[in-house]
Amino acid sequence: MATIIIPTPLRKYTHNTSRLELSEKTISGAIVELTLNFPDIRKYLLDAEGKIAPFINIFVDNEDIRNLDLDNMILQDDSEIFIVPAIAGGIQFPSDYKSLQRSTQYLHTV
Amino acid sequence: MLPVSNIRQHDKHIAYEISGLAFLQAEEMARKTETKLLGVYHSHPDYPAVPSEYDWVTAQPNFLYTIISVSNRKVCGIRLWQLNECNRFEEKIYDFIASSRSPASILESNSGVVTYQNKVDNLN
Repeated sequence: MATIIIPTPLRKYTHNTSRLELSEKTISGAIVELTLNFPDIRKYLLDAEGKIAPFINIFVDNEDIRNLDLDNMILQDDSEIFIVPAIAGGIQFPSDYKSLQRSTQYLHTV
Repeated sequence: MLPVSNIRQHDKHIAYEISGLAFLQAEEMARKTETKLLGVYHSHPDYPAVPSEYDWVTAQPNFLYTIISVSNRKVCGIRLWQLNECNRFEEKIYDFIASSRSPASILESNSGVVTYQNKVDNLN
């Protein structure tokens, strides 16, 4: 079974477990399975439509696969999926913030 | 502490973003050293060490945000913040174990991730 690695900020919602084995064979399926097993993590990973939220990056074996077809990427038994939340901020909104919102939805709405 | 690059080089004076790989490096470092990734630090040039609206919009839960106010290449203040249960920033006070990096040396990189020995109080 593939393994999903939970980032530190979100481990509170998986009973402080950092590594979980999941039975789903696709990345999208694995994320959904994770949210079904740990419902409290759902709002941090999925958007209102149930798809992986834009502010969540996905790495598989150290490769950023966020822009690939996650619904059809088949996981290997030794695959490691890393959930990587966007880490950003600063003194003011950058000029490209609106485009960032479309591509990188953040946790809170103003 | 692990200094990491701000990938927003074109407007680094107002905003920062840490790459996914850098975040993974920090997580791996924490795992190998048996410490805990507590959060991230970043500087606020000519701005108080308090979270901005943009800081709030982008903040992660259960993560410590160390903000360093700098002006004329001098540290003016360092304050720590974390989202509370109501998703609002709350100031945190910690006793730090001595670090080899002084606050002034943090100016060399205006962002980074922070890990401390596990003797520090658990955030949760």
